Amino acid sequence: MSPRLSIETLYVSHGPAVLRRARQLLGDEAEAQEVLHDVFTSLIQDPGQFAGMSSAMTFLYRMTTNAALGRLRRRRTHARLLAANYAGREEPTAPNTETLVELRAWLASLPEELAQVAVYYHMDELTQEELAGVLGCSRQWVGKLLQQLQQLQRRRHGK
Amino acid sequence: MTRQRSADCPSDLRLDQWLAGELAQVERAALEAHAAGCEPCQRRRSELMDAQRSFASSAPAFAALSQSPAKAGRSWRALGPVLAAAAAVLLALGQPWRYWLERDQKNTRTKGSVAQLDWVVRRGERVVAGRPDQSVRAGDALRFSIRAHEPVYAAVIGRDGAGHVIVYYPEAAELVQVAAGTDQPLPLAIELDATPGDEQLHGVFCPRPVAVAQVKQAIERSADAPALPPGCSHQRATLHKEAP
Repeated sequence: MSPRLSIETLYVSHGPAVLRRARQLLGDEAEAQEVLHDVFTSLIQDPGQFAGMSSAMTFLYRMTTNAALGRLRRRRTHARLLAANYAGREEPTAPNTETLVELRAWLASLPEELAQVAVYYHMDELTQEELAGVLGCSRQWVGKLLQQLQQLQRRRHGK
Repeated sequence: MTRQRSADCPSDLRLDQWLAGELAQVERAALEAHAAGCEPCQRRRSELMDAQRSFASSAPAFAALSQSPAKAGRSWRALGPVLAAAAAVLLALGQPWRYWLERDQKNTRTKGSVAQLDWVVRRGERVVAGRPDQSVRAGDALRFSIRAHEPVYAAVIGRDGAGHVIVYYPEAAELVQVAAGTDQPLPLAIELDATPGDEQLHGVFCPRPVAVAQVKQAIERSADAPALPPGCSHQRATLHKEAP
């Protein structure tokens, strides 16, 4: 069985989640399709990336997040920082368009690892256990990253 | 970028893993039990399933990935038949990505069962991977394979919307042994008829030969928790038959 054929199957079964996730993060259909393209082209070129992964979906979530965050960083000069009322929400609510723009700008301003954590924790609302699974690290390390993220949020809002 | 859900509700990641058939039996059962009584989760699941259905017709064809993104974006509709043709090949080959994903995980076992029933659904020229809680139509063709971490005696049994229990596999008096492997195709393909309602699929896996009639009777008596011989495990999926 050639790796290309395997990835082709994966494209049919997991591609929808990749595209949806890229749309959520980027808010732009054309860019989302480019992320879909980039993710699966990368897999075709280097199928070994999957080695040792227990869940294709978890792996593709991470790949998509990284690809989308990279694009957000490149947009950074056009964005403003996160709205003051975003930080520390216990119950996320459906944000309006302006808040989404600001949220994406804030993500682009964060260090790479913390930007990933912010996406998984605030946007996806993953549990710390799920977050550890996606990032491939321990729950303790996730806790430290969340603390760092909170500190950055407080600093941003002068608390 | 967020959806309204309670602390008990699964994340999108979990739902995506569920729809992709990646969850172990125990995890899947827990998620299905929650979703059965959770309206927001049912709504979200429907949204994700709709997105899956529209993907094959609206997303760039896989064959276009070797082109530049802009070019691929322009040409995906023209290349639709290429994806369909590729999918038809996949129907014949089962789900090879499972082997590819699990090639480094030999000696690990799916939680709660030594084996798992997989399937693909072909509708016309399109083929999609099987998943629990899947929408199907009369005329759809299903082809089955088994993932087993050790040799196992298997049966595939259906229960239609009218409650009729049908043994799809094997055509024998006793369960037939399937070799260990991540994609063991069964000599079986079925075409769904027009009987309305949900169609249940039951996979039964036993460590030794068991009478098919015994297994069938157990599922007739209780589709949720059939009283199977000791050591046997049971997997159930529901296919929702859409109106033609």
